[in-house]
Amino acid sequence: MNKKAGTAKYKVVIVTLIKIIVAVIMFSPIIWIISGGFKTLTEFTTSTDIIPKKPTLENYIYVFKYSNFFKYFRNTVLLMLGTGVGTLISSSLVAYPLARMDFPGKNMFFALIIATMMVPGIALIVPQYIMFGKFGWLDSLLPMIVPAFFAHPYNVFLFRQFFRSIPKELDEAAIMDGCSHMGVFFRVLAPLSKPTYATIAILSSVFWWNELTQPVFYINGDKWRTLTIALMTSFMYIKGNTFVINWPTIMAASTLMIIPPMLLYFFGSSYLVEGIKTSGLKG
Amino acid sequence: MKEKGRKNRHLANNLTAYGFMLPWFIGFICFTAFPVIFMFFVSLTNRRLNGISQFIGFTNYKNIFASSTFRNSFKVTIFFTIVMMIVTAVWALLMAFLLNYKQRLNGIFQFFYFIPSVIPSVALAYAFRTMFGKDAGLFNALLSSISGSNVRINWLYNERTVYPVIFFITLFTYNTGQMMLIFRSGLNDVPVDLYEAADIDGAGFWTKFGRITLPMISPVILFNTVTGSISALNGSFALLYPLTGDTGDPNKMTQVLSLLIYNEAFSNYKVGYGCALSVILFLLACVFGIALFGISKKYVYYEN
Repeated sequence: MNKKAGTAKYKVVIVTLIKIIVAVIMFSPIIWIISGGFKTLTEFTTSTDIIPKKPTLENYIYVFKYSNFFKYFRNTVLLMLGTGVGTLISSSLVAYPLARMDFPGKNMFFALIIATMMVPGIALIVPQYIMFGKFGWLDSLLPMIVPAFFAHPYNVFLFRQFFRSIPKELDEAAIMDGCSHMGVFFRVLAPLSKPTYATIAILSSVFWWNELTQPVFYINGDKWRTLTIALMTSFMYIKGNTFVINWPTIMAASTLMIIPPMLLYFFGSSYLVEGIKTSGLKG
Repeated sequence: MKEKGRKNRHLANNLTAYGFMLPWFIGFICFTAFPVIFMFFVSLTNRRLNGISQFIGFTNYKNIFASSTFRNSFKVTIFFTIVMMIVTAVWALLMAFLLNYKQRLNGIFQFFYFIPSVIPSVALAYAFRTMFGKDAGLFNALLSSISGSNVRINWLYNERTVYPVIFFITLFTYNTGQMMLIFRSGLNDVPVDLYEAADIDGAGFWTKFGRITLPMISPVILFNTVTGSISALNGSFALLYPLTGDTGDPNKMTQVLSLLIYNEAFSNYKVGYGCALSVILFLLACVFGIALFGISKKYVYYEN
């Protein structure tokens, strides 16, 4: 008995140790980014100390004063809001009949939605680039915001899974009372699905805040540049010198860019677990 | 009369359903089906970035299959996708396992494990470019202090070190965090009484893992490997473009198809050729999807 308790304790120590090592590994790039933002260029390129010898704010001053940081920030927020609102409305509407109604072609459409989930967006980006060019949408946020209003397959899938977990008796009762399907959706299912709406809002916001690929293809000029492209262009070089990469400025801008998703996760994590848990993969 | 009423109600019901689905119909036709067909047509032309184009039949495809750059890129893509899928899935499962070991402060651990996956890949890429840099790189400094000698390896530009370093970096991507969350809920759904029964039979950790955990979470593993391979095809651009550039340094060793497409269409202005490459990437994704589902039919255990 005693020996067993001893091995159990031993196991706890080992597991905790592994947990801490993994945590240090996972957090190391973030520490590196934050520390780098407070170093001078000379210190950044000569020393690997985590705590800067002479902490400086010059990189933050550069980002705020000498770059269009606030414009890039505004563009990124507009992108997040536009795509988020679009996908929440359209994806949940599309998921409703797939979860709750019977109609011809239902299984085929659901299979098609799953199939389109598997198409990597990057494979279609060149034809879409030509198409959006014809619409005159290049160099704007429209190529990313407009498609969001026409349902995103992965989000449709998550909504459908969650709707199915809500007892069907609830909407059958509402229909008995003379509620239309629109009524069932807006008064019964949508209010009960707040965790899923919150989950998808968080996942979508984080995705678009971080998205680099589509802005790289669609946006060329400075006017609609997002923060991710700005990191590769505007913050990258010292004024008038395109040969030396200004690493500390990149790190300072990166520090500012990692704060919003961290806050979103921090305040939304309870929703995240709830929203994904109930969207289990059975059935 | 009654029959007709029921028919009408049936029709109204179907129309309501299609009405709800209208956004998807439009989106599917405009942003998926049309681009796929259009892509194939453009791939038969020599379209340039400025829009000038001429029909040239299958010349693009002939050139592609004759090109050593393409053959390299195709190999790199398959290698990269498969290894990244395995590495990130194993790491995500490990983290989920550690977190499912209930302890105080678990919330803080989950925060540390998940947070790198929600930060911009470009910020991550630049952090690692400097951490694995030759001068004043954290990794060289660590090795130097352990070995006592002055280690100066340019990890990302060295042909022997670039792959391990890049696969290490993929552990920090969005995809890994997503997989970890899904694995966690999968592990939580495994009935506890199965483990209790195994404990009574005196089963060890690995027996329980192989005989209970793995079969029970196999649908979750399938889901994660399918989405993982798609995001490896899709997400490698956002990681590799700021990390090694569209030329895929060193020596094209990291030039996956998405980087090659960007390079041909936007640096060399060959949009028609880029579309032909996109068709191949599209077909490759289909093969991956079908293969994974084929494999799953054989091995995946479904409860219902």
